[in-house]
Amino acid sequence: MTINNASGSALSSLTLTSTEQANVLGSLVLGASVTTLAINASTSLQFGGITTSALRTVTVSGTAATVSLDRIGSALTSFDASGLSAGNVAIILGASPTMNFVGSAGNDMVQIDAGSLMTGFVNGAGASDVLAMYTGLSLTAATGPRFTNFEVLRVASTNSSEGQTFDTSFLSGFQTYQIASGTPRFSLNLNKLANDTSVVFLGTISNASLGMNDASGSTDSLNVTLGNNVSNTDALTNGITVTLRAAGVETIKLHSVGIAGGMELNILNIDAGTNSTLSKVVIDGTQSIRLQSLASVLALTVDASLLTGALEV
Amino acid sequence: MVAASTGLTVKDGTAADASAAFRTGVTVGNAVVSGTLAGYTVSGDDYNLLFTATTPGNKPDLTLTGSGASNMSVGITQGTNGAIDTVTASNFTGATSFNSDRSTVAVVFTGLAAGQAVGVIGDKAVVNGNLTGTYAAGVTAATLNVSGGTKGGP
Repeated sequence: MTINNASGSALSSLTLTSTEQANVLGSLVLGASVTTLAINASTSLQFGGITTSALRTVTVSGTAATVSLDRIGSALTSFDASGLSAGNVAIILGASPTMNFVGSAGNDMVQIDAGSLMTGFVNGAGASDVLAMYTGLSLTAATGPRFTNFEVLRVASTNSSEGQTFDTSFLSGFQTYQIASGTPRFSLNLNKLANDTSVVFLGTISNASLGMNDASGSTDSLNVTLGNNVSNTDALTNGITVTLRAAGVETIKLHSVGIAGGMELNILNIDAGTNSTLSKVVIDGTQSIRLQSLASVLALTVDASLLTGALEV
Repeated sequence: MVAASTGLTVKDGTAADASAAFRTGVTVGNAVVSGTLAGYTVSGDDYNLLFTATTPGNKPDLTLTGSGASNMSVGITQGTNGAIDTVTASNFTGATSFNSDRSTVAVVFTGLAAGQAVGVIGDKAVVNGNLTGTYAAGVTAATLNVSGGTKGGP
C-alpha cells in the first residue's frame, strides 16, 4: 500500500487504525515526507514491512493482541508502544544509530538488525520480552546497558568467518538465554553465565559453548532445554541435535521437549573433553533423547526418571 | 470533474438521499440525478456506497456535489478483468472515507482532502489488492483504516 501526497512534500503524518478483525497488510510505502506514524490497533495487525525514507517516530496504542511490524527503515529515532495496553509488539529494528525504543505491556519480540547497536535505549517494558540478536553484534560495557526490561536473550551464530561471543555480564535482568540454529558454521559462545542459568536450544547447533561466570567449586549447574519449537525463523523443529561445551559445570538439568507428537530424537553431544567436570545429568521432558560422546567422562550419573520419552545413551 | 452527460452526477441532498440516488439512478428528495452510471453497479445503505466495477479499468464517472451529504463512505471493489480502479476522491463532496472494499485488484484514490480517510476492507478470505491513497497537495495528515480481516496483498 502506498500513502503519499500529490506534492510529495507536505504530508507529514499517518494515523493507521486496525479494527473488526485481525488484519494483515503487505508492505506499506510511505511518502518521502512522512515522518510520523501513529498506529491505533484494536485488532491484531501484521505488516510485511514499511518502506520509508523519512519516518522518525512511531507510536503504537490500542488493545490489539499483536502488532507485528517487521522491518522499519533506518531513519527511525523513536518507537513507543507503551500505549499498547494488552498486546505484544514484534519488530525488527534497522540500522538506526540514535534509536529509542519502548515496548508494550505485553510480550515483545525485538530483533536487532546487523550493525545496528544504537546509542539510544531499548526498553522492553512490561511482561516477558525477547531480545533477538542473530548477527555479528557484540555486547560490550557500552552497548549492554542500553537493553533494559528484557527477560529473554535469543542469539544465533550467523557470522560467516568467525565465532560469535555474547558476554552476558553486560546485561541485567535477563532470565533465560535462547540459542537459535542460525547457520552454525562457527562457534557460538555464551559467556559469563550465572550458576543454574536457563539456556534453551531452539534448533540444531553443532558448536555451542556455555561459559560460567565462576566455574570454580563443584556445584556449578546449568538448566539446558533442547527443542522449544522455535528456530530463528520460527520454524517448528522436530528433534534437534546440540553439541554442548560447558567447562567447569558439574550438573546439567536437561529438559527434552519438542513439537506435539514429534517422533524424532533430540540429541545432545556432550563434548567429553570440555565437559571434564560433568558428573550428573538429570533429564525430564517429553521428547526422546540420546546422549552421545560420553566416552571419557568419568563417574557420570544420569537420572532420567522424570523423562516420559525414551533415553538412549 | 466528470461531465454529467458521460457519467452519473448526484447534486445536493442528504447523505441518505444521495446514496439512494446513486443506487437507484433517479432523483431522491433533494438529491438530483443527472447522467447515467456506466461501468459500475451501486449498493450500500444510507451512509455507505459501494461501487462494484463491471468494466474495470475505467475511471468511475461518478460525481457527488453540493453540501448536503456528510460522513459518507465510498467503497470500491473490482470487476472481473483485473485492471486498476481509480477514484477521484475530490469528486465526492461530503464523503469522509474511501475504501478498497474486498477488492482483489489495485485501487487508487486521488485528490484526498484533509480529514478524509482511505482504507482497506477485508473479509478474512480475499487477498486484498494494492491500495494507493494520494492526498492533495498541502494536506499534512493522512488516515489509513484497515478492517474486516485484510489479507496480505502487495
